[in-house]
Amino acid sequence: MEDALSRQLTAIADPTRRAILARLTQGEATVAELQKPFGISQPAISRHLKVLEAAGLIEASQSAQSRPRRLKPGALRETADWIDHFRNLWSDSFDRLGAFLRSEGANPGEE
Amino acid sequence: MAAEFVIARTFDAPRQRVWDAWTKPEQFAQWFGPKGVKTTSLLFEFHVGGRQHARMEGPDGSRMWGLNIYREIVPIERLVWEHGFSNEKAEFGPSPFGIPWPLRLLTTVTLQDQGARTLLTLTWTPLDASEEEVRAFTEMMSSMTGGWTGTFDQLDDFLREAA
Repeated sequence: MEDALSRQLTAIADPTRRAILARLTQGEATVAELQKPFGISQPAISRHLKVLEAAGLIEASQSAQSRPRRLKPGALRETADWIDHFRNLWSDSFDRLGAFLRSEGANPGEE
Repeated sequence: MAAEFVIARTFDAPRQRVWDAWTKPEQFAQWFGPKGVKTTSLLFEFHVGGRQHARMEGPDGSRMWGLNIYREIVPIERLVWEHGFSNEKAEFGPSPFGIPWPLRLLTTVTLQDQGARTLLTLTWTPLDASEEEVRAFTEMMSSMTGGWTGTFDQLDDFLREAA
């Protein structure tokens, strides 16, 4: 589990971290703001943020002393793509199966 | 309630043709696989207990393997196999998504006549999975629930706006 994709996947395997990402899609937030809705301690939130940062999913803004966290655009693209491929495996395949069954390859001797 | 993913589609072809498309390797290769992913069949042993092993390559070059083991073959009616993520050596392995995920899914395909057409129903049911694995499966396969899908939808929107 060393490459970027694996780090991302480990990072989003946790429901709290997924919720933090969902919150950050609304805009940047400080550690204190992130801590409030989850009802967990500041060290616990900081640990989650560290994992997300190491995975390259979020970054700390330097604009204020509170260093609000924000999403890194495009960070989850690779993971989201694979998951979408897998979720749509059958509907995509069935689209092509329908086209294949109408083609000559599936209808030998009926040209 | 049992966790189950079901997808059904009516095809404009008689059952025999649909069956052939699933069971003849050269036909299967022409339609099976996720969009944008290059699927290469490595093994196609079409008999009960036989293995079907394939490599999938994403547009970015990342790779995954899938493994099926046939459990039941009733010509032009019913096809049952165990499906799972795999490795290069055709062994079942944990999901590459890094989340709890059932090691094996029981896949059942049934074909029914609808006049000259064929109704195909496919179900995916977790096999020997823990409660957590079943939950992950249900969350990921349902496009209606929040959880991840919700997160990814929002992320999608966000990424589009940021682009």
